[in-house]
Amino acid sequence: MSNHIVESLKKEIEGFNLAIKAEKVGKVIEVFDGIAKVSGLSDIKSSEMVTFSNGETGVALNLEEDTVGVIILGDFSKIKEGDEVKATGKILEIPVGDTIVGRVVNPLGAPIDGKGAISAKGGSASGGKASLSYYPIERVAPGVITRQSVSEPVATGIKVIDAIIPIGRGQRELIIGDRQTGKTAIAIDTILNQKSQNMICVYVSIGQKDSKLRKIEARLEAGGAMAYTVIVSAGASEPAPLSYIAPYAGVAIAEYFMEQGKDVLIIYDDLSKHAVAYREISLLLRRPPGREAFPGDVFYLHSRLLERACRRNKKYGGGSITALPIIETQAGDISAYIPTNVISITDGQIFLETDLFYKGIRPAVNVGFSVSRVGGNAQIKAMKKVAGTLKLDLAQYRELEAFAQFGSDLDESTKKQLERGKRAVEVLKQLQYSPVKTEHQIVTLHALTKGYMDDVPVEKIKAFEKGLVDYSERNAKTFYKEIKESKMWTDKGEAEIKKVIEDFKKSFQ
Amino acid sequence: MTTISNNNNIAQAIYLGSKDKKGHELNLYAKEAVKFLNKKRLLSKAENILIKLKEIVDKEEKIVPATVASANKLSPHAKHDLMRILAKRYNAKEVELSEILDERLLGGLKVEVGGELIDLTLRNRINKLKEYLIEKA
Repeated sequence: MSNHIVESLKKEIEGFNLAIKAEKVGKVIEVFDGIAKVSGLSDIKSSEMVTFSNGETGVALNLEEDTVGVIILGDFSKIKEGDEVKATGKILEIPVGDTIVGRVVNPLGAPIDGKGAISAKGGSASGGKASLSYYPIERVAPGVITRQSVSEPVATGIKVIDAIIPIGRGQRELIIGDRQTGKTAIAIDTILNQKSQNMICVYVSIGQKDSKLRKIEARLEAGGAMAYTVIVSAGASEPAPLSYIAPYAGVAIAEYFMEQGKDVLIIYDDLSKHAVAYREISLLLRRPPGREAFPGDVFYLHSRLLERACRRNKKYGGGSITALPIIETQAGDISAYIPTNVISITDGQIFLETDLFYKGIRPAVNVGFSVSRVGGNAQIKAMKKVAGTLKLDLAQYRELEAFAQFGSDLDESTKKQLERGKRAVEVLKQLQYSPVKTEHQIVTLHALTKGYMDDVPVEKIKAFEKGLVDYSERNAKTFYKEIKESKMWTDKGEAEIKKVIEDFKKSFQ
Repeated sequence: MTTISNNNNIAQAIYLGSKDKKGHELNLYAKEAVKFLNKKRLLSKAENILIKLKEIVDKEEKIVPATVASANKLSPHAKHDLMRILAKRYNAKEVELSEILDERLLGGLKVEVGGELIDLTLRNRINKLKEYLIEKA
């Protein structure tokens, strides 16, 4: 055994060939708060990776006449004045491979879940042939020629989203709301619902508490979602430069899978903290502050990131990246700097409200403020049909709700609309971690919009819904088959579901 | 009113002014230059200006300052060879070699010229081998 080790080591050492080359070096002039000022490095490029003598990595951000401002990606406490800094000639890149799925990595691609090193598929400890690919974290977004419009849905399993604010593969849909309104819950539910949907998920945690991340990981593990999920984490205790590069590292991983023609869902939780980390770096680098002390290029910071989400056409390999960025607002103020920026970049937003949350309407989606600009094209026909009238029902309900508080002198049709609205709100309520299959959503919404629930008491709606789903699953096989196969029902299916709903209603008390 | 923007410009101006001056004339010029710096409150930057001035003079006169670090003292013959090679590589008339002895390098030498490093030390080879073996594993 030991002989074998000696032999293989000998072989490796023989294969080692050190090329002699002149390297560009500089010296650390000052170092503070994750930033180093370096002299020399005269030929360095912007965003070029540098290495410090203690092995830490950095990225050159500020190129000045005599000095270079470098952000340090890691522990900066051991870097001191006078230390040697080497330019690598490469833009910062991270190792990626198929084996990264199911792992928790830091923004440099190193595993932090205690499950050992990430080696390439087919690679071995003694150096197999396969090796991990390296992907640059900064990359120009795919051009217009390579793209295709959004036409396939991402099933989130959340009724209100799938019906009213549908998301398509390749779309960028913002999740926005105050703290504790269920933003992360929507993202996690969506990941959980991607099981057997042919989707790789990347969850990028930016400046979150480690305890929260641990909980999320455990929840995804329990739901079997880690089998197709990668978590990229830059924790709250880590320096700002790591938070700054985390979303770019996440999208680099997503691009690796997209280039294999796969569909990828990426969640940035959250970009408010990302903007804050970038503000910290920019101020430390002495870049001039602008509105809310953010630097002038904070829009570009997010636009270049979110533009990398796309759906490529077949000619260019297919595959897509769907991005769900999250933004945390302060006291519901969506007109602050970062929220307005990201709203304008994305293809729609899901707006969550504290008031709704405490009224018990969860997910607390404000349907009026939420929109999906391109998702409608991705919705399947059957869902489009049932959701069309649902949106109308809810809009009318919201309008009439205020009047209804003044008295009971309402005409019959108004009363009817109010009752329908109440039931619609009830149907759209959903517990966390309980995604609903698309076909079940269609049955429920069909029953609602066709008025079958109008005479069911509001407090019994949930029981009715559950019972109907179970009953129809057993008795409306043609309807379900049609939806699964052709994404729409025929007259035969309609007649069947009508009979099934009526039969179920008779038995429901 | 023009502003004096940086040390490089000041050093450049001082160099251009002194270019054709010698002996007493140069001394007078130096005095005037210091007076000027004092008047413009730039004496605090004198150290950096002098570094820049040296860089400009070296560049103009094709003098290349080089630092060589080695574990053992270089023999006069090796030093001579090194200077010849460096002069050729950097197209220099003269190479100003400053030597540093550093036992941690174990063997070989490393040369630094104007932000460029050629590391031929044993320590570097061992470090690179370490990286290579770790990467392979």
